[in-house]
Amino acid sequence: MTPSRWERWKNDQRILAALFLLPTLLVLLSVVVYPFGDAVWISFQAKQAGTPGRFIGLRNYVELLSNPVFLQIVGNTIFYTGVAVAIKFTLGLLAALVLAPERRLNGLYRTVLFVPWAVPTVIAALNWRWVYDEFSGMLNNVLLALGLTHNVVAWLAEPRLAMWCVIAVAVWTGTPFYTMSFLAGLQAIPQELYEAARLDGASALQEFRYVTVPGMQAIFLVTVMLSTVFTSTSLVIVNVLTNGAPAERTNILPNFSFNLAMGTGRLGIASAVNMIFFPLLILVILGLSRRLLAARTA
Amino acid sequence: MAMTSSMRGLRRLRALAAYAVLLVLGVWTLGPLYWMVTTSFKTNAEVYGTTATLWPRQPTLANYRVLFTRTPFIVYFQNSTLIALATTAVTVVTSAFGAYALVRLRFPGRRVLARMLVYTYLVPQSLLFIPLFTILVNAGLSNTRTGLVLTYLGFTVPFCTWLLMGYFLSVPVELEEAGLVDGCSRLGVLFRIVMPVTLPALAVTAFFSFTLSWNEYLYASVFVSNVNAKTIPTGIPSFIIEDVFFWGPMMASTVLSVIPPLAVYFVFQRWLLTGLTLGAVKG
Amino acid sequence: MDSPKPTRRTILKAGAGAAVFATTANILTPLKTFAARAEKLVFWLQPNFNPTADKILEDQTRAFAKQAGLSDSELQILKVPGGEIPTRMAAALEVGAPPDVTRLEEGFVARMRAQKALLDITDVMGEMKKVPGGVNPAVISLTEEGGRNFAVPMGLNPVVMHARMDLLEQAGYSTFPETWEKFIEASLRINKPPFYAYGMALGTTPGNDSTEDIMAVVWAQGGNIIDKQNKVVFNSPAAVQGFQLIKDMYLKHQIIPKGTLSWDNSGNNKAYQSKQVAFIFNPPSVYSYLLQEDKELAAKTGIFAAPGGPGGRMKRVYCDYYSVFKASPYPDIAKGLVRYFMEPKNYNEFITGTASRYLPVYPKLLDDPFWTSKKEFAGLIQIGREGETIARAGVITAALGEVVAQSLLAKSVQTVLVNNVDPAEAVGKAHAEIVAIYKRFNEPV
Repeated sequence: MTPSRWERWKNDQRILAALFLLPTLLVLLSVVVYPFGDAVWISFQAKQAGTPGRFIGLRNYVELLSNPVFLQIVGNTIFYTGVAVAIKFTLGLLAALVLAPERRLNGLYRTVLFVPWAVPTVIAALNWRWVYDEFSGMLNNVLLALGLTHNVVAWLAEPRLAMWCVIAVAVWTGTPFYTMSFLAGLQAIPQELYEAARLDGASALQEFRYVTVPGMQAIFLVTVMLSTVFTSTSLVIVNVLTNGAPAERTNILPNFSFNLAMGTGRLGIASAVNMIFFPLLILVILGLSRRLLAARTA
Repeated sequence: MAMTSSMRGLRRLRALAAYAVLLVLGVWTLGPLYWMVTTSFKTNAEVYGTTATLWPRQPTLANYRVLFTRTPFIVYFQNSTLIALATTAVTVVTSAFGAYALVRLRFPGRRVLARMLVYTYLVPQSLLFIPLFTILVNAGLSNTRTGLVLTYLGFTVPFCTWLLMGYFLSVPVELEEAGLVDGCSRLGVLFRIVMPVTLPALAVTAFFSFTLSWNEYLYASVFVSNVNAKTIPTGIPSFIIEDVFFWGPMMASTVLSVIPPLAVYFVFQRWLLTGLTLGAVKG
Repeated sequence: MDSPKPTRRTILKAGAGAAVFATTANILTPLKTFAARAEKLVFWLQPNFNPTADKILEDQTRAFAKQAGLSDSELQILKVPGGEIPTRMAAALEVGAPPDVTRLEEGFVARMRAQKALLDITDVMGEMKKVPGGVNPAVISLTEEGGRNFAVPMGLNPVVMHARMDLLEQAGYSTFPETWEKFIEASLRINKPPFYAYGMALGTTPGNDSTEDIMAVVWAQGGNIIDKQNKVVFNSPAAVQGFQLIKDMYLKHQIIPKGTLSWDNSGNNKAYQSKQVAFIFNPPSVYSYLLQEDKELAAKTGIFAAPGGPGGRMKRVYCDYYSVFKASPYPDIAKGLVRYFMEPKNYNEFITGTASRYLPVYPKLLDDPFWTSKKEFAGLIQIGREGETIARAGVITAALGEVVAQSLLAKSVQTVLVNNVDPAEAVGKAHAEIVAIYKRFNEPV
């Protein structure tokens, strides 16, 4: 008996695929792909919020690339991302290594260490701004109470401290992501490998180097890749803590672009800022992602 | 092999080191939160100046009272909840179907699509918000909760699809093939065999969607100015009304707004780890 | 591993999909104009740092709405903090949906006027001029273009020094120092970290406090941003001297808390109100807050013009305005609200409710016992009458508004304080940047 049309459709992979993927495609095309193209187009215009745009070719890009402040901010962004990711990686790995074994209180600790990720970033940033406050903040009050300083420190305004203070907040909010991912990764490494290594007389350090690290390679890659993108494109922390002060020492590209767009209403050049930065980012990510995706759809 | 005393010593040292690390990390994690909670219960006098106290000497609920009577905090809370739930519901369904199609079904362009998926996730919101603005307006969706949900799907769907792809890959093909051999249609296989097995994965997807949506700031602040549609992350900073003491009520609001994502995390905790193990590692 | 090269078919399909969406999005554009707005009146109420005043304004808005026959759902009052206005406005304008009525500060009025976003409300202005005593003439010019008025002044903000008189007396001074040199002298005696003398706003977060504070020093030396012909004249020995003075105060004498570089507009208020600094330069919103919430500190506070120098002693005032946006679908109702606010009886209620945060734009109201009864207000009123705008000699234009909005001067000063840039070099660079902005706005330099 030949199957009915409905029966055929229920089994036709291409029709099912089209059906299953339709919502995803709709969403992505309308809120990602099309706006992206639009953003490229806007970057070639002089567009003030509320007035129609005017095509000016590469003038926005020229203005940016010839501005030393812009270049300083690019440097800041690279520094900020690099250092934050490195610290998050280290702390996250440390925490995961410590939390992986089934110890007493580990369950509780896993919950505790996760809390920063559950706190909305803007709220964490406001909270930390209050911690860093020059006169009433927790940090200064604790230091004064302990007698470690005689005067208050303006954490977010000291040129040499400010960026580190901002990075600290990025680390605080972002480390749980690493901890969680690495914990999962660690638990996926088969115990037999460790036992085999121990039988061979490997020390703890050697176990780490020859069993743990290779087994975690994929996870390391994915986490760092995602985190690099998130960290370098997130403006909330900088915007709330310092908005780039002092003297643009803590300003990073997404915040710069945001202020251009929403502060002065210059949408064209704000878009150009993103266009200069984003391809750089993608080039960095491309190498990593290629390796992963090949494995995924195999 | 009997344990020598040096081995025992080493193990104890390792345990001590581990506890030390945990202690430091614990203080580091909870310190700012402690400050947040205690400030919310302090009077203004105790909050400001270098005489700020580390523990409220005159604990008060005044800040919470101000929060509920003089600000639209409740509206923000409701909006955040509605938007997060809606985003989660749509995301779970959309990404489940999408992930399954990309992993199990064969059709032309499969690989390109999978790759494009990751790329769309990488396009930063700080880039998209400028054009998304105009698009939402043209569609009449600016200042609406629906509009916000749609823009949130732009990052929840790719991420969750990608996660679920990993999970579906971990379901042995043999299970599904057995189902097919038994006369189950492809659709049936999806519902009756694959889904139940990957329930933890769906839970993780729901968790991420909810948290990402609850915490989102940029889109919510740019696309919505109407109080009726404002969410918590954008509503709270607007408490910074110049020239007025506000840190007390603001800390109160942050305390309250941390509770739902924490609650969701507690509920989903045990699935989270298994889910992540399945998904992320398969990469 | 087979190489995942996209086939021509898939590329074509993707392209087709994108094209479909592009066209769809454009087709939806006309939908925007057909969507009728439910509310007949949208008022963005910017909080006045004073709950009483806010309530008065809100009540007045509702009273007017009732009078105009609007139902509850046809009125929308949105509380938008002043600091958020630039962001909100950019979004709203881009969307084509600004509010009907809101309060605008000077720079913004200039900018909106240049963008032709404001409604002609000459008739409202005319009625205001007919009030006995008229309107303070100094603040009308900003509203004018081609002989028509596009905004109406609603309140004067004198910018004054709030000073801890008790500490000055302790240090041996019977009155507030008249020059910056004397000011530094007095500050050095009062300065006792963590208690600092001068909470000088030097932050770059949106707000104009830092520009005011910096210009107070520059003006005292005789410097200006623009001259009578609106030409940019910032680069001058006076400005360099001013920057040098600020550098000395911050780095050499250390009478300014280091954290001011990241203050927002509320930073100096908070510092003074929580007794961390002795002097701040701010509109009297702080004083009005103290009168209501901290009478003890209010009693110790004196109000004065900023210290002076060779260029004189600056009396600074800026004005806020009400405007109606051209995009308003119900312009007559919107105009009605502004008219209602500015009716002398309602206006006086608001002015006394803000308790010295604003000085009235109707000079006659200054004869009201509310003002004459308190001696502290005498200084305030004098500044209100004699005060000058940021443009000083020239006129506030969109370009000047942009200079203030961008905190350009604060950014420049920060390079001196943080990056060790020489004051002369910083002033020169700032001048060039100001010129660039004027050119961008097509204004003569």
